[in-house]
Amino acid sequence: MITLALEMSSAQNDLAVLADDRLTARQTWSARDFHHTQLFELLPLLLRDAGVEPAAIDFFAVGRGPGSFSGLRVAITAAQALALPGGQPVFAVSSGAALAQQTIAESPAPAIAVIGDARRGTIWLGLFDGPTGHMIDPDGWTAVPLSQWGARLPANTRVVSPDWHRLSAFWPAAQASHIITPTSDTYPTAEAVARLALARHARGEASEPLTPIYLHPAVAAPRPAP
Amino acid sequence: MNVLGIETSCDETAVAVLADAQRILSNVVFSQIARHRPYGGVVPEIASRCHVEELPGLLRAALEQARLGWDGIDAVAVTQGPGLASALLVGLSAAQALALRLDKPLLGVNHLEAHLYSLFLDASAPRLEAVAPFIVLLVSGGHTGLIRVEGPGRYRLLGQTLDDAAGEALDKGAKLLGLGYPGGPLVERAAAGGDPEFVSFPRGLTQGQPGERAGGLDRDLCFSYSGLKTALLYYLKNHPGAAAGPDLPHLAASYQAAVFDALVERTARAIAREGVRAVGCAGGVSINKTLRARLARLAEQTGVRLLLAPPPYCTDNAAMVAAAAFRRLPLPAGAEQRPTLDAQPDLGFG
Repeated sequence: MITLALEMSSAQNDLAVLADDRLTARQTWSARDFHHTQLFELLPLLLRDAGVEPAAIDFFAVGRGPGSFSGLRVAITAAQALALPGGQPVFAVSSGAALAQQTIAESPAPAIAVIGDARRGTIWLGLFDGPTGHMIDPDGWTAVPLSQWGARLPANTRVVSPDWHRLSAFWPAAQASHIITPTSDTYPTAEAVARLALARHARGEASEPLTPIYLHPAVAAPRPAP
Repeated sequence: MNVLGIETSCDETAVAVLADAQRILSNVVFSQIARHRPYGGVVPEIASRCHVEELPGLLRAALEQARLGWDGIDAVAVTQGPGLASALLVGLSAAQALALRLDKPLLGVNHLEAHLYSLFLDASAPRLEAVAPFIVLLVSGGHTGLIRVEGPGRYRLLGQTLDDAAGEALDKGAKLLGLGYPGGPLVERAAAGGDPEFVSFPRGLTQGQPGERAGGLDRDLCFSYSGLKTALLYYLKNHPGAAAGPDLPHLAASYQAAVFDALVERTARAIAREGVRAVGCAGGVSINKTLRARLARLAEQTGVRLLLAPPPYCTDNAAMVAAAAFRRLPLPAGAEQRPTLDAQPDLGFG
């Protein structure tokens, strides 16, 4: 089975093709330096490297954030349009959950906290159980005030973030003594998105909604009175 | 040749399939007005979210309505600009992915040019080539301008608004009058039976000196609506309760007349100066019956042919996007079949 995965939630956009369980091609580019539409320059190269035609893709996996709204909209829309003519499944997973799985595989810890810059003085936060990889917080992804999030984490939680470089400038060090903080940004990969989507699909689980994860309402101000 | 068109530049999500520039096989539009109405105008973030949710379903619906399979699509056309950057990006992503998947040509279309082609989206309409050169008054919520059309792909901007678009002025006026959103149809309804001379609102730019320029264009063919809404605001401050009483039809009619006087006056000047035999009016505001009637009178007085878009194609739609793409098809040998298209929010004419 050929899987194409698109992950565009962070500053590092990533595409991957998997043949069954094997990564066969990958393209990565900086969203800081290039527009999101560079996807459409790199996608043909990716497929050429993988030796597959667009019509031969059996399964589409896409990350839905949290993260860059523009990147996520491009990836989710492109995945669906690529799948539409052939009617192949498109399976969305949280990019942050994929990053948690990457971290668990590389640096196990009792708990993994995936965080990012949610703007408006907040961070987005998802807490995962280290041994099982399952999300702990029943509310899922939450936006919490920048000054409070460290205190919410259990001892020895490993923090991972695509925005660590930016967030660490605001990091209240006094809150950090009980947790393991990163030294650099870590980005979710398309391969991790693909593996998480394939695993859930194999278990018969449904795709998450084919929309970005939004942690703020579209309009910051309250609706004007009618 | 069947062209799939995609439009997501503002608050309409739209897909269409055309068999040629005037033969519409399908045309589906999801209007987001209800989602923006509580805020009194288009909220870009709401528009973008909505496009992502609605576009895949509309693509399926357009193919079904056209009774075509995906192998029946020969090219993909998409609005590249002007418009809201984050909204444009959704349509551009879908179009580029589809063109890649189908291995078909991809064409980025100027939204303003697409509106010009809406004048010809009727089997009984002439072809653009047959009536050129002509002038088009393009009037919508985001754009107000006069364009000289020499032929397919050959356009010259004669004048445009220096501040608000006419549709925007109607939206703002409607808000001040307590009518709601979108303003154009609500002002038109409220103005029924009203006296358009009840209040003399300003008509924007007064006539300038010969040769005077504004924004690099002939000042006498440009528009300004920022003073109009301010005049209404002060009128309402000086006449508390006027918008809620029996004067409402007169106020709405007077305000609407001020918006349209400026449009018709500049159009008349352009006809006289440019020596054309036809004049068109396109864009969402062109659906207004009062404006249509006034332009019909102007056309009759000046002896030019009047071109109006069929009402379903006045507001944003994808049929006009696909229609505008036909003039460039088939792509010449050696032309790039699938260029990478990025959003051009400020794309203009020329």
